[in-house]
Amino acid sequence: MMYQAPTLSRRQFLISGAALGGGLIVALSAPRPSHASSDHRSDTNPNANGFRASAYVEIVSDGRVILTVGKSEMGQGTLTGIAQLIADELGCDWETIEVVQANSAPAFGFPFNGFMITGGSSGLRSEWTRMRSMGAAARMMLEQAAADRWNIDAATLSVNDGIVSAPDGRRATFADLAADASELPVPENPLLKSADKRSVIGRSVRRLDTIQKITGRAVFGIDVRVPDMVTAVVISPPQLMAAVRSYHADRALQRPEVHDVVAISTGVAIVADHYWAAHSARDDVDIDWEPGPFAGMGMDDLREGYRKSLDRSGIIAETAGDFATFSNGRSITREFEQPYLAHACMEPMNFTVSVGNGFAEVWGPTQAQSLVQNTVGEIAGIDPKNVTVHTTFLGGGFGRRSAQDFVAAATEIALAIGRPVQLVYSREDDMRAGRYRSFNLTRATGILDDTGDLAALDIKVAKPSVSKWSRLPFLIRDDGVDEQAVEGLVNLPYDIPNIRIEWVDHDPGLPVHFWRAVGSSHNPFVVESLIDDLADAAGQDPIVFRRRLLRNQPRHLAVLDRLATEAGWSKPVEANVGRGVALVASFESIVGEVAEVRIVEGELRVDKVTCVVDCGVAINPGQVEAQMHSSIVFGLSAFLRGEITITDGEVEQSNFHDYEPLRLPEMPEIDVSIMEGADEPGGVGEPGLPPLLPAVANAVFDLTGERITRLPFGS
Amino acid sequence: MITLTINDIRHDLDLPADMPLLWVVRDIVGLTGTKFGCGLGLCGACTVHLNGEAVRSCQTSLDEAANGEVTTIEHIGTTQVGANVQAAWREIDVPQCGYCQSGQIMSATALLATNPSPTKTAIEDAMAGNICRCGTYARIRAAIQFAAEAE
Repeated sequence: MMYQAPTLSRRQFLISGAALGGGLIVALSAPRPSHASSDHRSDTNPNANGFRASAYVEIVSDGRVILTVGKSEMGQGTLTGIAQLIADELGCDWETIEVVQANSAPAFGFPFNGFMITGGSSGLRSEWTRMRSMGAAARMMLEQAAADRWNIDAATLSVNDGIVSAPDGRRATFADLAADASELPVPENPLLKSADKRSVIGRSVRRLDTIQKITGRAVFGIDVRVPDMVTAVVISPPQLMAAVRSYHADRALQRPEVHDVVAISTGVAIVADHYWAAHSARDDVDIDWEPGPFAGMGMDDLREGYRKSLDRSGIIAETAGDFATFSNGRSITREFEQPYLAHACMEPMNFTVSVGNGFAEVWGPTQAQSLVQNTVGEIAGIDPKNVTVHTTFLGGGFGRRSAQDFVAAATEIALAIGRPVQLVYSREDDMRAGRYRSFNLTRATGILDDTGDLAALDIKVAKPSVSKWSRLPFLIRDDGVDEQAVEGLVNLPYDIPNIRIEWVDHDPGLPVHFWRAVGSSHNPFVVESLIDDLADAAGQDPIVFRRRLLRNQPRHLAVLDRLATEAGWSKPVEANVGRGVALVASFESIVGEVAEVRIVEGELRVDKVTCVVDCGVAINPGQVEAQMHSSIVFGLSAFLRGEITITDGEVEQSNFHDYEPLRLPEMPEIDVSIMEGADEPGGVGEPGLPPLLPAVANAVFDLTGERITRLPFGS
Repeated sequence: MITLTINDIRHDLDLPADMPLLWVVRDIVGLTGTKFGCGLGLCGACTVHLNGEAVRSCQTSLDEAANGEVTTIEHIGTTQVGANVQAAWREIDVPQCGYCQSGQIMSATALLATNPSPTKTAIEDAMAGNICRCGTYARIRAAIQFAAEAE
């Protein structure tokens, strides 16, 4: 997902006030519309309650430090990471921090468009400046309060573990100073620490949510309980997107625990006291379905459509050199096919909605509070501003929870029955309800010049526009190119004189959505497989071949060289082991991976993955390592057996037996090294995935001489 | 009326005999730490202990649990092994999204209660039924080894 760096002073500013009980609150204003004037002093210093709907840091008079976090915690560690940004500048005692998951509020929107969304590995990047500024402003006010009290220059004071100290030994705690500080003006441009002064940023502090998650106390969407709530399941059409012609619910309604059976736009909902009661009544509802839009359609038809689409001309997303006349040299052309993929979050999709009197209150695991407000508002006919979103923990996200299907269905049911409802998908509903990583077909040609250098790259990818499906038009460029379709193909780090990247907007109509790393989940598989192919054709070692192409990219080169060292690339592997490499830049980070594979009893076994990541500033190295593991496992699951297929318009997979993520015994040894290449954080939640698939494919080639051009492996 | 003990508290339940223990625990008794993942015993998110053994509560009917002793994630810390496992999970900082971790901890605790020093293979066998989509497997393995050493 596209992301632009925030500029605190231009679009957002800090405000402050007194908290109840004599505390200090420093908060972010809502992003200022771009046409607004620069004079916004009129809305500073609202009372403390005004801050509850904003991004704030509160120094409580009892010593606690309360932080609100507007990003959704889906495992990536954003709650902890954002707290680290604030705490590093604030200088509080880490143990006094409490984090609060914020309700939907304009202050949490991306500064460039106001959308409150967690995705695109952008959380810590978007919060990097403003959260540190908030912490720094609060610290400066506390320092000034101490300076005023002691009648000395604030510049002589030092701050550590929540205590302000003067050179003469006088000390005061944050709690003691908070009330005085709340009377002071907020610094307009707080000075941020230089990198060498940071103490919490860069430390592998333990996650703030661990204790809740190991004791069963963490509240996920499915754990929400609100007064008068009932539970609903939706019977979805067997054929994707088919409509209900008629239904009979008499038998279901005879069950004492069943309250209601109602038709909604995507199926028939059963409403009952609890999940089991609703789920058990499924067979007691008889539904006559219209034929779905994909009736009769199977994978052969789908593939045929994709193949034909590659013969159409698409939109040129990038062009360099004179490709049209370039033809001398050895060329390799291959076609790569990659399947539909389900997200298969461990927590099935669910949402809880209470709506009435022009207001709605909703609870659940969402990555996109702004879209939820729009969805609920549109369906219920109320102002999106009157929709309050309470974000719970997310039992996995991977892009799936920015989709609105489950929000819309829950809202329709709540309106139909007139009481609060929690909609819960079964695993089968979750697997078969659509919203997949799109199938894609790519034709790629690489041409070597006489010296064995890569002279030209011509890549044409056919796939639908995920940004259109996700209703995020700001991700589509002015020339009509969906950035998500070509990310990982355009702006390659390699020095290639002739290049042409083309996208055919081929949309078979099956619902598609963001899936971890989005375009970079499949495009780098093509590029890095082809580069490996070309290295082989040039008779060169794949790392040596890449080194030459990266001669003008010091950061990429540094990652590649470190990777070669960490993986022991110069030492030969045993005869029964294949080794492959890939390097991909995505989400402002660079990740290189080397995979080692064997074939054991006819099965592909990935023994080891060596991973080197340059993510700029590693805010929490322990969590960077965890996210590299996470992306590697996610990618390996997809490589080995991830595939959603349809037959006669129906999704064939239904649960973890036929869409089986990697299990513990299959876990490779993973060795992660972290490099820091810039003083800005890069993304962390996704960039470990893109190189995994080609690294494993290239290892298979090294072992067997077979080039993998169709995923999953063995298909 | 079916009687069973959950976390040392006796419950007399007037519910269908075929209702899975998972939904009894979550929706009737109100202990939401035990998670629904697949409903077919494929993912292990719903793992609880029944008479000391790890079972998939989505595949265990209320009838099968009748008169039994059930322990869930909310109560596992009251056992020595459970407390050790939770401490190890904390030390290694295992969870990411955390949704599967209740089940992982219940499976790991059942393993260590019967096999205090499990081999790598024993850990793999005991944990193969618990899926973690976030891929925390390396830390899960490390935490089990850490807890075993703490015994």
